[in-house]
Amino acid sequence: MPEERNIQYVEASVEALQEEMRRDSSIFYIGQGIGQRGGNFKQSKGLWEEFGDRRVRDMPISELGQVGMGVGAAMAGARPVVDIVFLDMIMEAMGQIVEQAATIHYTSNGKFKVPLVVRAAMGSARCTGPHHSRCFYSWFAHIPGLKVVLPSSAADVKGLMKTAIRDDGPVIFIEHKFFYNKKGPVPTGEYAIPFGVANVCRKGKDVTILAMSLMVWHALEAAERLQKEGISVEVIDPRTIVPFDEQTLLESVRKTGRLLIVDEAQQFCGFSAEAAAVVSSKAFDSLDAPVSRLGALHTPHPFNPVLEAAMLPSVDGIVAEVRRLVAS
Amino acid sequence: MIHDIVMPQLGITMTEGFVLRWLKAAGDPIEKGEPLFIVQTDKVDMEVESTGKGFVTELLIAEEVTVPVGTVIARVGDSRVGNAIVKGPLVSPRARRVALELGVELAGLKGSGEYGRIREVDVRGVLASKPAAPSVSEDRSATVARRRIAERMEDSARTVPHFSLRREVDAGPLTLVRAELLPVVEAREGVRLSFSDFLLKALAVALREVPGMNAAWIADRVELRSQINVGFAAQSPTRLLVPVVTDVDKLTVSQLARRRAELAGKARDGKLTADEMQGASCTLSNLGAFGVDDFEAIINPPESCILAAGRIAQRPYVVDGQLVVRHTLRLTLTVDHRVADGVLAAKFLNAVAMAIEQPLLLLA
Repeated sequence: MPEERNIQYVEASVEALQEEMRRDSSIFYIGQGIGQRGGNFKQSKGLWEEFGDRRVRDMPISELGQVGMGVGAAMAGARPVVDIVFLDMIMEAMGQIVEQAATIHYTSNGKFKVPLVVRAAMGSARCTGPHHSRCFYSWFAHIPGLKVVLPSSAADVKGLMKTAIRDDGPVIFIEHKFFYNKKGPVPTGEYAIPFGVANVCRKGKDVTILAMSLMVWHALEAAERLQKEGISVEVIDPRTIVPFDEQTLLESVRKTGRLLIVDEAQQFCGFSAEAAAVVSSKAFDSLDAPVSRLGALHTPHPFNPVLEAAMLPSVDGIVAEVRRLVAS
Repeated sequence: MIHDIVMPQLGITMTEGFVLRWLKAAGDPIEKGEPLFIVQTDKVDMEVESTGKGFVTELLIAEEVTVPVGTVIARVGDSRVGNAIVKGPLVSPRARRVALELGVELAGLKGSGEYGRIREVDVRGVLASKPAAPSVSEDRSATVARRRIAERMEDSARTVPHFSLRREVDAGPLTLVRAELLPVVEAREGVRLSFSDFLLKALAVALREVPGMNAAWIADRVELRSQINVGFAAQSPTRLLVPVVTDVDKLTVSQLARRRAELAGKARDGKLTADEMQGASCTLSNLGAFGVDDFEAIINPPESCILAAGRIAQRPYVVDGQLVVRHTLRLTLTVDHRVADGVLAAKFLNAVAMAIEQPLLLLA
């Protein structure tokens, strides 16, 4: 067993940046409030003190400009990490991300690489309404040329951040606000987690749940409750949705015959539809029940806590849906 | 053009329907209005006609499966070719594969999944359990009907807040009136006048006097009725049915007797239509002929109440401080508390009692 420490998710992410920045001087970090302030979520705490203004720099409120600079610097040989802070604001930078960062490698016939990490935090945490709750990851998954990372644990955020920084293409690295203060075991010493390798968080035999980010924890809690009823649930976290580890999911469904996909983003046209399609076409003869999905309702996030809870997948909802799936 | 066939709503309280049997197979030609399937409710087996014409292209659910009202259960299209599927049960892809691997025949297998879908567990179950010869043969339709009644009674007992009022009435005058009218009505209408006819009439009088009880609990509110319709419990060989006599207040006792006998005959022969079994505000359940003194009945939703009548027998009775022997009848009125409170129900039962004790009023 490698040695472990119990540290916060946000601390693990800072460790990854710190270790990588020490290792490679071409890495710099820009964003709003990530300098002296140490980040809205403390997601850059201590970095400005160690690396100074030259490598850790606050930006004006212009996501388009930030990402544009990042793309240019990456093309010129740097390895920038651009922090959008709230994922919702990434909409301002979409042109740079989609048309430039994701595409230049192809349109330049491979002459340019864009080793850029765009970092942001998503999700519902405390009823912060439509402009601070969204989960846009499937938007980026749709764009060829982008990798999309959704770490769900302290150990994963560190290991995946390192891989993201070392990747020679643009990576959209989406953390969950709810996690930042959560502690978890993180290995001591150097490690990186490769992209496209799903994590089987819990072994089971009756139903497979595919869940991303915070939904992994909801799924694990639901699985724990269902275990008491004699329903054995396997929980799979893909960790990266581009690249997507189809094999781990397909193997699981071949075993269980039933799949529930839990997605915090709006269900309609979301990643859950992609995963469902993969399973329906590649593991059709293994399905003992139709693939089921739980996702957010097709509505903007309300401020009202009761309404917000009603629009998002919950542990109770997962438990009920698994029961239904097992019965049908 | 593809036409969707949906589970129809055959009664006000019907939220789901049970497909007992398909009358056509996929690929069969069908005319609009031609029977396509049989829906079984707790009350009736009803042939449902196709709402489209052409060919049956798909039967989407297996037989003996319950689906919500409005569910698309079959499709009718212009041509036989295309996606016509074989009439048969739904099978999960996994179950189909496992059946092939294990050499299990799918035909005749009963599915445990949604809409009766055969699942892996059902296929493996065939191998696990050596089929034992059934020791008792049973009428499948009767068993299914029993299940429907069970569901409906369970639902009523669970969801309707029942309370009961009891009253013993002097049935002496009624027995005399009935004895006198019996040969007259028999000669005129060719039916045997029963106490039930008077009780139905008494209920109609009471419903007119206490209109608050001429109601039903529908969609979370009291729906008052303008027509006076009363149901009565009738036993067919396979099930309990509740035919409804409409406009009871407008019928003479002899007309009522004829109508009641006609409906009871249809119930026995399984010929009642869904229309003949809905729209009542209350039901009469009369077990007097079976020697029962008194009993409580379960309400037939969405009706407001049910009157349980026992036998008319000579019993000790006190009149003006004197103990006498009288023909009495014990009534138990069971009421849906959502529709009516105790006082209203008591007024209603009083009106019923008055009508029985003064039977000439029923003839007025």
